[in-house]
Amino acid sequence: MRYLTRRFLHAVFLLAGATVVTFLFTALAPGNYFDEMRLNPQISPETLTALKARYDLDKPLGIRYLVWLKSLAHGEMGYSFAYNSPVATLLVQRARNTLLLTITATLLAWSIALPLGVWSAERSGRWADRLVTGSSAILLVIPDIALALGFLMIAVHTRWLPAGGMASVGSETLSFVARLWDLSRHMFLPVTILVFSAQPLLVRHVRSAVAETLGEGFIRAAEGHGIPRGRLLWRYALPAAANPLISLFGFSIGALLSGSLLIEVVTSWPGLGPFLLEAILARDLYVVVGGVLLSTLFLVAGNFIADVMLFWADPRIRAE
Amino acid sequence: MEALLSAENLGKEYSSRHSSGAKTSVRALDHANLTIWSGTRVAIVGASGSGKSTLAACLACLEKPSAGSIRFKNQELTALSEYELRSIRPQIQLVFQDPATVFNPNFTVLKVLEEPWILQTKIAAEERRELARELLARVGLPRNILGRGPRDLSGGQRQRLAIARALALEPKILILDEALSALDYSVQAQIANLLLDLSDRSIPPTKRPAIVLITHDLVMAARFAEEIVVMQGGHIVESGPTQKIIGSPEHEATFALLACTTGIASITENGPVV
Amino acid sequence: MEPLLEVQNLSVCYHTPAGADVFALNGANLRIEPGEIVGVLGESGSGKSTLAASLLKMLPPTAEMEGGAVLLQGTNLLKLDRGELARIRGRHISLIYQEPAVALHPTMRVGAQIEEILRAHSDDSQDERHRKARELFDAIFTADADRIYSSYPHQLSGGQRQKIAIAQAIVCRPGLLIADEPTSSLDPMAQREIIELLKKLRRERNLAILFVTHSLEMLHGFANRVVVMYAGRIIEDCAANELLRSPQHPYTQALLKCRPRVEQAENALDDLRIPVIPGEPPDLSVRVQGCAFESRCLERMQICRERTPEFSNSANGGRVRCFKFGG
Repeated sequence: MRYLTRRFLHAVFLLAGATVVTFLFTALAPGNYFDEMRLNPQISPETLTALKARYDLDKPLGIRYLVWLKSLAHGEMGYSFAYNSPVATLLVQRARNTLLLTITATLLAWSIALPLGVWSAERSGRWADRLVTGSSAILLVIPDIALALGFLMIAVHTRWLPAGGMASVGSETLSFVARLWDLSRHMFLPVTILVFSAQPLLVRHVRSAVAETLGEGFIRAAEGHGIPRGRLLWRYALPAAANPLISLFGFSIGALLSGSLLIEVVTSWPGLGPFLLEAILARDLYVVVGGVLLSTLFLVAGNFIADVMLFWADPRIRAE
Repeated sequence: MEALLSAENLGKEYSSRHSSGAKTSVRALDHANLTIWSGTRVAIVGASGSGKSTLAACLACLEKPSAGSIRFKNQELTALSEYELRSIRPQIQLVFQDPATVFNPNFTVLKVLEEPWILQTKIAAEERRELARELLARVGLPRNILGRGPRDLSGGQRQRLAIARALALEPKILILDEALSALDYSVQAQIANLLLDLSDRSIPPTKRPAIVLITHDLVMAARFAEEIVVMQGGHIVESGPTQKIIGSPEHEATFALLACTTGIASITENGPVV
Repeated sequence: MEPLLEVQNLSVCYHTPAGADVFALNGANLRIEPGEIVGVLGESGSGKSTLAASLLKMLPPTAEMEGGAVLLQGTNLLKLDRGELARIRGRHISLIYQEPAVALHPTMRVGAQIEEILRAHSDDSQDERHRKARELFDAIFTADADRIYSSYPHQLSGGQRQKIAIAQAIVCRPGLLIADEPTSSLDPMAQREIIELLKKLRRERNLAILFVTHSLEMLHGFANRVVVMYAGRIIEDCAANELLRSPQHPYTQALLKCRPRVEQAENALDDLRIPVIPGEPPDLSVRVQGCAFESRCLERMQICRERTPEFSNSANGGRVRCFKFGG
């Protein structure tokens, strides 16, 4: 328990540190939201000063951070200049869209990588293994953007799938089932790209962890006791190989909000990624900080979940 | 004969924190008193967990004792800083049990032997090579293996190499922690003979190390050592000349070891004598 | 009486990545009767571990078995496929190793590991498996059985771990237990406990044991028969107490002399040096024409270099492979 408490405090500390750093960087970057407006001759300098004062942009950095922290305690994350609405509601909605994509993709990716990795590890060195390792290597080398554009091209040419967005025009009028179908058609492309880009790393790690475990003495001993092959792989080898995979899973959870930015932009998926990008370019301070906080929350939570799972799965860690 | 190394009231405690928050501490060594005289052969015997290896590690300055003192040539070792210990370490050398894993597999035999000289002295490369050959001869290894890697050697040869490396800086004390246990009996005999040769009376005292054999094999200990120290549960429970310990043991731990090690009192050419 | 296990002309060769072949086992013949304890005595490279592993086809992929048969009550184990072999392993013949820490699953409770074996070989319900496993466990661990049953391997001592390995091996009541140096990594007290446990199991279950070791002391008062191996061949085979009393083969005689005797400490001699076997261990990558021990043998003759000796009967009722006795 002490171990977990320690890890938890560690996580909280990490989170706090991340907010400070982000706040610092965004505020230190030259210019602010209202600088754009300065170029507009119709807006007087006095209006600008008033606007700045209203949004506290004339106060020192430290004060601004503390004010933001205070509002965070109330469950608010500040105000978006561009959208003229509280940051929290905006972020939550966009984050939901992203999570829809990434959770589906992560579940799918792991469901494919685990059996594939185990199967490949068992046939280590033979042609089946070489096939899997080889294709993983190729996929790994192809940059995500090339993958994304490639799939996009196929979608556009064949017209089987919509080429972007989350919903078709006029979909609000459809029945629930029809809307669901429409959603899945739109999801298909980004999810496929995400799964393909995540696969090689996962498969390699599963494969190498299981292959290494299969060489261990207790597997040989269990084989000598007549434990059938299937049981040997799934009940003996995989749990013993789990430690590095649990850490990897923690990363997967951590990347749920942050890993899909590029894909979302390319497929015009209205997720957190494009939204944050926009906000950064426009210097929409509180959106940026709020978005980073959310992503960091997931990263830190993912790590912590991995710690908990490791604690639960490996008695040797419990003994430390 | 001078008292080379004397440990007084030596204690070593390992503490670990359980995940529930409870702190447990293990007394691996407790109130141990030991004197090693120069040029002698001592065996430290005991069951697993009796504290023999912990004692060895403390004596060789690889672990810092939690309590007690170690005097080496009238210097208090526990009071020395790491820097000051650097000049002491070459004089107390430790050889470990597992010859398979103790060497860097990327090193050649020459590199293994040279390393202590490179680290501690300023001897030139050519001279180091010659010294390495002499060391190999001293431990009974062929001179032409300088270019080979440890993986190409047998278990017995690797252990000889480990002993050679330990001898490189002319230690005053050579400690062998279960160094013979993993070897075949015929190879153990060869290494035991090597150790006996190293501590032969005809060798000048400066080149003759005191040898401490740590083992749970009482048979080998009885043959090799002049003095036997028996440990149990981190304590030294009995010690004395070999004849006395084997002939008239007093502590139950000694009895237990004797009973379990030999089982048969002896095997002679004419049949078992029980 | 029909033997429990019969090994006929078994040979094993390892193909090393460097290209050289290592002839680890050369035409081994062995019979094990039900309830018999057979010791296999030898040093590193003698082929004893290869023999043990090959009986259940548990050799590494680099090994090639060149002919020969392993007959378990008539069935040749070497001809079975993977599935059939899995039904024999752990059920009719079991194997335990030198390092129990390595042979146990690190993150599975030890009781569960025993139950897994039952699961593999029977259709018992989970409760039934638990009951059987606990019954065996309580018989082996008289004290503290509850705590140990639900422990993990890293929480136990070497001796306890080896007892669990034995429990795993015999829970399905096999007829033969192959033990490859099971006591070599333990201290004398734990060694004694393991030997006593094995003796008890033999008495209660008529368990035959093939005990591989480099220590003749371990076999004293325990083994019925001992075979001595050198360079991949069995060179002597006789009753255990006969071997101790009067070993016939020059190698066995030399080997016994290597082990110092305790009572000699009382007669302190000037020369404490222990007798050794002269020369180097044999190079197994070379097929020797004559007797493999010839170069180190103090009683060698011309013929020893020319031909490999066959078995002949020896004075103590066993067989020995040496030209001294005919060959």
